[in-house]
Amino acid sequence: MSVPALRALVRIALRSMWRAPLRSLLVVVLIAIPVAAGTAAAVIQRTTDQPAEHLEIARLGSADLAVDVGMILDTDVAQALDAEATQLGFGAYQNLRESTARAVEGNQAGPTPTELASVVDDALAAPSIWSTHRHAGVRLCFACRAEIYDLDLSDPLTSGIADLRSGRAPIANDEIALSPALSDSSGVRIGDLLDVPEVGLLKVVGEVVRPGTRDAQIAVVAPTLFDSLPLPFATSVTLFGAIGPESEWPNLARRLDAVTAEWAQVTQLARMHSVMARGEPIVFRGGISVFGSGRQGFSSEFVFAEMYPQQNAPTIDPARRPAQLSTLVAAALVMEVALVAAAAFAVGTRRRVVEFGQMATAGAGPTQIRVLVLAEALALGSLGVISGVGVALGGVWLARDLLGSATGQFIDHLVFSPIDVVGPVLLGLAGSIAAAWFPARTVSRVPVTTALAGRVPSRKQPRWVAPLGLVAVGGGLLLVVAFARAQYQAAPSQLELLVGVFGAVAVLAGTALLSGPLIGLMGRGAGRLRSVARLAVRDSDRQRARAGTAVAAMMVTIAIPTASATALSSTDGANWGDGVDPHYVVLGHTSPSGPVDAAVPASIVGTLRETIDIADVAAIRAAPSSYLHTGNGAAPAETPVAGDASTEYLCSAPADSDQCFWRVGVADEAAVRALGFGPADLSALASGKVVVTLPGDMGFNTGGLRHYLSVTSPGIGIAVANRGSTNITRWIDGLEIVHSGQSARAKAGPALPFFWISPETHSATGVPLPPISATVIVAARELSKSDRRSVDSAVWAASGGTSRLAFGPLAGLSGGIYAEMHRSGSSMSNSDKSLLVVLAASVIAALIAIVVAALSAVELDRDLGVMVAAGAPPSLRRRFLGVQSAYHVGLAAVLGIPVGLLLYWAITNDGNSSGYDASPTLPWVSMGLLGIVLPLAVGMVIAAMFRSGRPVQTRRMT
Amino acid sequence: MTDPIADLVATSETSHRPSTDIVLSMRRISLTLGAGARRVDALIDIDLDVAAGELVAVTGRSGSGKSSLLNVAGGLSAPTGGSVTVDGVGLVGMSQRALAAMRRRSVGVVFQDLNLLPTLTAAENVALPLELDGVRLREARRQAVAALEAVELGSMIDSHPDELSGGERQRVAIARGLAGPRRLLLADEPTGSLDEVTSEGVMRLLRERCDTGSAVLLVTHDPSQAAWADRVIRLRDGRIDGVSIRADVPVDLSELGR
Repeated sequence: MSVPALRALVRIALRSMWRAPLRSLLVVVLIAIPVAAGTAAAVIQRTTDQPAEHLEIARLGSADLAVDVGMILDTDVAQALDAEATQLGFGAYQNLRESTARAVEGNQAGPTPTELASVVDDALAAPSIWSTHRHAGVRLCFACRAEIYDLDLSDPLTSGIADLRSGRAPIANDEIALSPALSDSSGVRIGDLLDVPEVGLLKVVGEVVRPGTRDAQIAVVAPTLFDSLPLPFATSVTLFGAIGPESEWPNLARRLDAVTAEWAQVTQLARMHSVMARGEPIVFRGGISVFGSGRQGFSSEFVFAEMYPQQNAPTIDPARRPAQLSTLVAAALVMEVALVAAAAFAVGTRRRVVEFGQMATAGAGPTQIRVLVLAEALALGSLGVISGVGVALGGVWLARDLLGSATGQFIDHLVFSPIDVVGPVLLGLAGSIAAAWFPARTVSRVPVTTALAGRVPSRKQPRWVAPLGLVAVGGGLLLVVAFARAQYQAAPSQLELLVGVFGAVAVLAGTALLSGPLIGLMGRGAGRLRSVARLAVRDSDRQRARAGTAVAAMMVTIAIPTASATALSSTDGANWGDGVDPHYVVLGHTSPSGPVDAAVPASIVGTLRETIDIADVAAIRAAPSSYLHTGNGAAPAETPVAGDASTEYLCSAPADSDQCFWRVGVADEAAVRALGFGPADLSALASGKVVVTLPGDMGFNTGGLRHYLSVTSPGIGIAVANRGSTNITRWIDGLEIVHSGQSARAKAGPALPFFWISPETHSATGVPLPPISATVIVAARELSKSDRRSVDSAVWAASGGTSRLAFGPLAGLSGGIYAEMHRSGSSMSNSDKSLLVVLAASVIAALIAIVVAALSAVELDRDLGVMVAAGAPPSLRRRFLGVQSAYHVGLAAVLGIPVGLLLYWAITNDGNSSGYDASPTLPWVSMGLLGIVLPLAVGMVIAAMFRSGRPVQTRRMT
Repeated sequence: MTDPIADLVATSETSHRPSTDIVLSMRRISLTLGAGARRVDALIDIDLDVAAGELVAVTGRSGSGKSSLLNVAGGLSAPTGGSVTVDGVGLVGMSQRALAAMRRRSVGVVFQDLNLLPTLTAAENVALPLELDGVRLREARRQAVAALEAVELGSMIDSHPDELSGGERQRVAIARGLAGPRRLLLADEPTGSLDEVTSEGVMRLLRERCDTGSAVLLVTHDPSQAAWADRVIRLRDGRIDGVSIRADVPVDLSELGR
């Protein structure tokens, strides 16, 4: 094609756009909708995608290396650390080690500092900067467990640990700065007074944030106030040393690669966090744990060295990122863009067929007409993608608070990569051109005389369309299942990801192919309908290409939230778990690391009583997580508790370690009654043994797996944090271990076995415990799923909508699977999230329906005008458009809801049928909204939006 | 009963002698539409020649095949049988692309309305076939302006169709139909939506284009329009039912109807 011809065609295309601004605008909007959705999804994902390593690094602030020394506040070790902090090089860890050895009762063994000093000295050059601060976990109110820091906010090293966002740093003893989440939980703002039990009134003078984490419940106080805090329920008090940023960490990095257990023992009692520049594509190593192999006889002797990538390093292994949902969204986006654009061009080009006929008489060939349509598609597509990207970025920015609320993050800036924008842009342009290709091809083949008459010959739909659609759906599902099974084994490869996306696209495309035959099928029954409904169904059948693409586009829009809502409701279902004895509800507050450590306020118990029948309410006294050590040569006569490979849950430390984290609880009368201890348990307790129940975040029980330990001395040590001058350590020997041989599948998240001791044993050992650390509420009858949801809502509302509240049904001690429900990190429940997704999809579907209706109105105006001229009421036009739109959305729901369910089934069918997986729970509310409410609402909105028809003029005005 | 067309032709004062340079030649043209019970023979055994400088009018009742004949002549419809030649090039069997090229270079079409693209100015409408044929923009515009000046629309070259009167729009269409090297103009009821005075102006223009060497095949049902023709072909049920020739045109009886 010659340049002059191309130029003429482009000119006509552009002029046509401007000449019909409404039509152009509608097409642009149609293209912009999926592009905006895709861009927004990508930006939201990247903005809210906070890998664990990022959060950990954020905790380190700007330090290259941090050393946590836990649970030893005011001990000799801490004092030694403080004393040497200003000149601390790693050589000083010799002193630290010696101090530790002196501080620990009964420590007689282990390598000497001299033996290891050379290793350390060579490995670690003295850093140039060292600053220390302390932090402690305390409870300021129910559901507001705070991490209190005595940070100097003007110290650059503290940057990122807690940044001052507004107000000022606390300097006086009656001042405090709170994070937004803590402000929300406690209901105070800057300038208000916060009443802290046993401390008094503190004035809130500033707002501090941990970058990227909305729900961080942190507070900063002046050092002098920190010293005077009673910290009655402190779960940890930590010295935090930050080194850098001028330290020579590259050298350190090399040395840490060669770290040995011996080296680790030198830095005992410390947890080291180091930010590394590794240089490899996958920079995060997940942490290296090194546990001392010595027999120190003291539980807290360990080193945990964790390595993180530099915060600004290329962070994420692409293979880690794409989850199933992302795969589904990507596939849906492809389909959405193509279908919506196809719907737009299917309407637009047919309307302009006369113009193309004129072009043909002027000498334009079929190719030139195709180029004309495609040029216009490219121009409109460009405007559409630009608008879509702009709307997406602006919309996400404006909705950042809502987004932060949904994800539990503090979002003050958007994170996006060019690829996030380039993808949807290219997809939008390619989709526009691909979608315009078929209408362009169709109109270019229309005989000139037919085109001049304004007709496009209707073609019979080939018989193979429906079977092909079914085959595509079936084949696509198989591919998605294959992808799901592959990704369960390991991070999926790029090829597997492509298979997943291709499979999902095939399912959606197959369903889209079915939309035409479905419309045809419905059209056959149109004769039985009356009035406007018959017109709407008949017209859809007659304009099957236009109606089919519109229905298919909305089908995709409905399928994805259906899958999403199913996933969310099934997650609830999994948490509540079939087969769980649902008589127990435990309410309490959990920290990210798991343990329940707070009593439930009476007000919430009262609220709960109004929701379900309650048989018993019992306060449980339990310690926070404790270290348990079974070594030191006093090996149990039977299989040791730790290190038993067949019982992963017996010890939450690495399998070969003899270090475990446990919780200790007092099996007093209330606990025994509420938790249903059986005769064997009571007998064990009466004889002074310890009942061990496993596992779970709350640690109460997982049914029949039970161990009984007898208490003598020495042997197993329990060390519990205490703010006294020294640790309190008591000894419990393992004399008898009854192991049933059961094992449980590893479950993500912390799992702390419970170590129940009788009140007498508690008194004898002197283990300090908070007065009440959890409340077990026993329901009078079995709780249905509906009851559980009511409990969820009631407790959530009663707690003021704060996050990190956890509750769950327990199996009791009689058997069953442990189950729980967490609301961590987000102030939105799964139901709320489902509703949000469904609403967002409904808005998109409604927009598509409205724009398609507007385009159809332009095309059908003359026919409708003729009917009005012939005596039909003027309202026919808007009623027709409303009914037809509702019909299209309804058909889209008929196709989209089953497809969404199928996609969910396929994508979660990873071959893992054991453990905690639960069968899908149908999201009836979401399905009802999408399948019934949405069509009716769209129909009514469109009928109200559009004007009534006007009778057509008897003669065309010139 | 006298033949009104023959009377009109006989009284025409226009003097013109067409050349023997045949621009459009149709031989044994037949066109069948539909099939089975709906089969319609739109054209049956039509033979027709139109020479350079000749204005041939086709008349007949609705459904007689007038527009079908025009469509076949312009390659807009393919005949069921027979052959069509424009400037010596046979159209039957041509691809759509070749037919489009033929229309750009050899045939102009003027309809009752729907002639002009509303998005283009008068000059751009006239220049469109030239540009589509690869003529550079400046040259195409020069030729378009010349064509518009020839139809006395030199002052309206940058006007859009909706800024022109009906007569002006038809004159632009005529200018486009004969712009560039094209010598054959097919006009289907070009004055159907115009008033009498304007219609006369358009017909006068067509007549003038013929006088300068173009060939015009005019479809009309209006005897007063047909009176401008050198020859009038009357169709009935797809067949040529009669031919009238203006009095001052030499007649070769052997070629009557062709």
